Amino acid sequence: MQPDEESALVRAVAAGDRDAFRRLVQSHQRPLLAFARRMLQDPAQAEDVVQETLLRLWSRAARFEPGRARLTTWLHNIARNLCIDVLRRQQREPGADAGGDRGNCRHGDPPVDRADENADGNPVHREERERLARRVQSLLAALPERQRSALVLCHYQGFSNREASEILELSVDALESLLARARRTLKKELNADHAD
Amino acid sequence: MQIDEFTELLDRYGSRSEDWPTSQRDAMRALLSASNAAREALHAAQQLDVALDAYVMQSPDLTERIMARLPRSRLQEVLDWLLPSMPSLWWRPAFAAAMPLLLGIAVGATVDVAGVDAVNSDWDAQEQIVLDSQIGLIAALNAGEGDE
Repeated sequence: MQPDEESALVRAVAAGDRDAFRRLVQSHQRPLLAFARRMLQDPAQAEDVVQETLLRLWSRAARFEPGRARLTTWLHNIARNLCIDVLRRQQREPGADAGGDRGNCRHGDPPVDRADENADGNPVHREERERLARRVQSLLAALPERQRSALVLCHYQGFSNREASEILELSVDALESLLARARRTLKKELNADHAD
Repeated sequence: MQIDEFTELLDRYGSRSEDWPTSQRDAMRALLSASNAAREALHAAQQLDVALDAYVMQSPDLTERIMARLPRSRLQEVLDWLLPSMPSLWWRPAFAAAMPLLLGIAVGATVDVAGVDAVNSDWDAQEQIVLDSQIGLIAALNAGEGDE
């Protein structure tokens, strides 16, 4: 969707246009859900975060300033703050939000269906990819929240370092420092796996 | 560019050269062509990207769930109050607009027409009595004038 079209849709949403809102929901919900799931590792809570994020688009569309940020950046900032709320709640009440009867699939939902190739050009077999996906999932979950946010935004969500720094409300240098620490940690852990 | 700086930049920007600042790319390529250690560092960064890429997921469509949570408009609330069980949205306003007509039909079908006729008959009778009394009075007056 072109930025001008998107801005027009946001203005329409601010005026109460439900059809415009539906189009923006259809355009943004999947990337936001992928982000929230990688942040929280819990599909049910991630869906709650995405619903709340987009309902805030409905109620606060008039506050969006197209000249200052892309809509996706604005939405990811809201989603990230909601994810932090969930993580804090989990820390305060361990086990309270850990799925249970809400169908949590922690560490059990990396459906890998893409024909990736490794850096040597050899096909990576499905079983190996799924094992790797589960390992990456657990390693991401173990990263501090800000490192995880930085890596997910830049690697998976496709934001530039500058855009990711805006979402995290940090300087670009601070964002890149988080990215470097996250990548070093993951490389170290994955290397240790290969050594075992 | 030295190997330490190169590995630091790899951790900041990743293994894809297009994500690197353009000002660093030439120095990066020069180092890669000259240094085995740089090539090994790049390979390790590429392996990390492959591992990260393995963690993909399919996301369900939440559109309808989100639309269902939108606050309802005032018109919708009124219509829901009027017609709580109607599933279709588009013909509700038409149905609401037709309510006065339906009300009129309902009133016309249920009011007792015989009662209305009875009321009309009473009025006719009273009017006849008044007329008769006026005719009687005029006749009496005329008779009085004749006697004189």
